[in-house]
Amino acid sequence: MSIVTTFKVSLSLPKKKAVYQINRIKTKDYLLYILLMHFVIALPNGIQMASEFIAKGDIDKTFLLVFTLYPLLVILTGITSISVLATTGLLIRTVSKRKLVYQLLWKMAMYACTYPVLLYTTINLFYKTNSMIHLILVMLFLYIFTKMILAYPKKKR
Amino acid sequence: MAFVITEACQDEKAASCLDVCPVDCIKPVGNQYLIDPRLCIDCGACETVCPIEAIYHEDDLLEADQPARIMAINHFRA
Ligand code: SF4
Ligand code: SF4
Repeated sequence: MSIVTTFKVSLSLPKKKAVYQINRIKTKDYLLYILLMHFVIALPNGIQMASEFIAKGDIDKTFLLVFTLYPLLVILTGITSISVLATTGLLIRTVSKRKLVYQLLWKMAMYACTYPVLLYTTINLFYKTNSMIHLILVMLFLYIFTKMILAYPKKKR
Repeated sequence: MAFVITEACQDEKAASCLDVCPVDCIKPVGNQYLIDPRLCIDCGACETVCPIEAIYHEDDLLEADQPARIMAINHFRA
């Protein structure tokens, strides 16, 4: 499955077919998708920082330092956030009596972030997000994520 | 339709597939694991975690791996 197909499958979530399809995405494409999502979410701030540096006219060592550290910081924050979001899946899983390991929940949480990430970036490119929008995006994530968990059958015992 | 564990699993039995299967349809049979095709929901969660790529969807099976599919059908029918 290519990265384009992976993206298309993510957009079909939380449909049951797509929920099962994401399990078959190869590790290479999965990792590439994680990077792509981080790139998308970092875009608004990245563009703003770059334009500020260009406006000041000093593309020097600080610029290079910021642009090396910024992606690392975004990835670190992103991985931590997905881990926290996946942890909510442990609760949903227990309440809904599904047998889903954390490893699978992490993957599901990552793909469930597609719509919220795209919306966040789009809004931030043209406007500014606020805490209300953040809350709506988290609710959207929880809706998609819960539906994905419920796509699996209940535990037999 | 179901996923099939092929002969490659024999003696490996790392059982990573067992942990991720959401419906517990993977069982030890002799010196390997087999998927119960009556219970498998086709979710594919086991396929990517197998460290030796011993699991395939039945549509993707090679001719040489067809006996593994038949073995699973016969075993769980009994
Ligand atoms: S993960 Fe692969 S090798 Fe390990 S038990 Fe399952 S099918 Fe066999
Ligand atoms: S495809 Fe899903 S249900 Fe079937 S054996 Fe693999 S993990 Fe279990």
